[in-house]
Amino acid sequence: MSTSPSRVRPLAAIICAALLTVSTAAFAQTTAATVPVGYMTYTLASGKTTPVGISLSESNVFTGPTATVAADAIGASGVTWTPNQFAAPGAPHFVNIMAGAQVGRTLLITGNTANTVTVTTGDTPLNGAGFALAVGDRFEIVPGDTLGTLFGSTAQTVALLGGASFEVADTVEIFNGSTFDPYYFNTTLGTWVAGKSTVNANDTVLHPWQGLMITRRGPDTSFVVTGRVPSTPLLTQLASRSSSVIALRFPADATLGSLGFSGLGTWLQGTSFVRSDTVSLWNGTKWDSYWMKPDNKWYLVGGDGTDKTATPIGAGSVISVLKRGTATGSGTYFTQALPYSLN
Amino acid sequence: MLVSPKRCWALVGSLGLLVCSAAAADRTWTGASGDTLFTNPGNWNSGVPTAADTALVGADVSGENAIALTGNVTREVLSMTFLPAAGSYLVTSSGANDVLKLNAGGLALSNDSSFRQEFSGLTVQAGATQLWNAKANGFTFTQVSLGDSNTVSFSGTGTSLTTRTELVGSVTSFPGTPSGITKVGSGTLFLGPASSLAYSGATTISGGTLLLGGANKLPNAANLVLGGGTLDIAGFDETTGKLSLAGTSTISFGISNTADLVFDASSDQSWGAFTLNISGFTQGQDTLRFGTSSAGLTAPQLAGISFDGAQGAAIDANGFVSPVPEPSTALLLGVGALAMGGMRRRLASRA
Repeated sequence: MSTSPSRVRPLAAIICAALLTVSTAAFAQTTAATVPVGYMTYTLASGKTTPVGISLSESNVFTGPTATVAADAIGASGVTWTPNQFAAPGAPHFVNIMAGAQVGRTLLITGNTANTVTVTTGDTPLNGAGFALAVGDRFEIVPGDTLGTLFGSTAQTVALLGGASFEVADTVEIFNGSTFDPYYFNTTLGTWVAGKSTVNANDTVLHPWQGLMITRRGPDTSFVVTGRVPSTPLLTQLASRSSSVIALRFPADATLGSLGFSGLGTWLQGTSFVRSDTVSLWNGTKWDSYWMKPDNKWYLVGGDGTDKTATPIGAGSVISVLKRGTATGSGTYFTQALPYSLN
Repeated sequence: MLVSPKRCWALVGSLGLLVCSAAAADRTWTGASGDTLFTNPGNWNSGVPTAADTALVGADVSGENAIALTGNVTREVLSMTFLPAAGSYLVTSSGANDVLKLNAGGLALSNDSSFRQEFSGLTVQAGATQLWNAKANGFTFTQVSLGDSNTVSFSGTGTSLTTRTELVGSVTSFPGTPSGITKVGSGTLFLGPASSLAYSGATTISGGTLLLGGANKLPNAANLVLGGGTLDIAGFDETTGKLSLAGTSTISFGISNTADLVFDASSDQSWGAFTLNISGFTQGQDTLRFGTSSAGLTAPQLAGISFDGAQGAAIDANGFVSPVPEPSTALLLGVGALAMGGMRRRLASRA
């Protein structure tokens, strides 16, 4: 599917310079939520790798209460959707849970009927005991991004530098659970591809929680992502016994101390980082790792032993989280409180 | 003058002239500094191993039994061996996406100790086609990278919960390269419930058992080669690529009786004259499928399938494979059908 990037623009092309407040409930069934929309600017320095967390989303195309809830499906009333309209290749959609026990959860839609969406739930069903979406809880449906829709899918529309191989092109690196897969726009094939693959990767889904690492090989540049800010707390699942590279999805600066690794998930603290959960921040050239001691303060691995709790994390950034525990299901979610008021 | 690295030090001793700074060496972990850091020379008896060195892991004098990579880099060694004196180690990182890369072709990772060794929170990367031999007591891996066009063979003899080798997280490869894994040896390789295997080369079982701990653990597009071992799907559904045989092998369905095992149509794959034993298959509940039509397997392939000792199988128009009824059963069914036919004819004549 070839589309021009709808939400990414070179900085020079941006005319709008102020946050706008508009109704995002054009397709709303019951409740008209109003949240700010605007843009975020990401600066890519030549020869550098920049962490990019996409904080802004498209406006929703549906919001309303759940009428039915199954393990991996949500029903709505008063709607007549076209089957699989929310799961077309190259045009992914996500469900955001807006209220209830699972508020803040984001789920990829894999199919839909006239009134029900089926979503990917991993090991955490929607109706699990003690952590369940209830009938009546509000949810919304939001268009998602792919490599092609966010960064452009043709030589004419691509917002990053393409090339004949990943060694010479700008790369969007996505953590695959073990290492980073480098995606780039292959100018020979005229599509996005991964690594040495020649398979068209334009439709690779970019999950909102995914942290992207963009390596710039062209000259310094900036790009802008437009969209709507999150309006609820956010839940992000973190792999147990492994690393996860995730976006900080609020368009607001944070600190290590403000991340609040508590709530549903458990957080291992210790006198040594070796048996503690850790958070790593990109310092411009590499990841610096921090862990929390039993005194509830953060410390830098290999650092000077001073309290790093106030270490800043810029809006739109990315963190790498290593969870050493063996939790599953609801015990694996990282909760981010809403850092601003929408009143 | 060409001098092999191993001869350098002898020459230094005898001539006092030659200096060889890049000689490969065995470096033994002692953990003496107590800080667990891989990069601290105080934790090794002869310096921190580099790309050409063999890392030997012995008893940890600090008692920490942990080795930690830090600094967001790839640490390379030729190979790593846990010595008989080694305890139960955690090889980990600070969480900064550190990588331990093994460079040797052939045997690159070995566990000679009496304990299972855990690699958790860091990525172990193959730098060549390699053998990772857990021997009697196993490994646990949470993040594995097969690298660029490498096959990693997992060997070992452990079969119990505490001695088998376990892949409990991600197994990936560099995109677009034909990397894969092979199960060798008599032991069990367990794919944990949270494991995720993503590579485009083959999954090969040449010995022992590959045991699933959840549904759909094998890569969907990767072909499966059975060369003498057992694929135990343990009652979970599984979908993967084409199946070929390189030896008489077994697929165990486990005990759930609701498992669906789906292969791509495999009629173009070599099965030789080998037998594919299917065990634990409950007809009418479990399903075994090759493609989506009766062309999913050839007649010789079907003849080589044995369901719990009964040779032969049939494939229907949708690709589902099932046992061929035994002759006695078929005879009884035939007699029953004839009897039913006669009854219907009699009923019809009365009407």
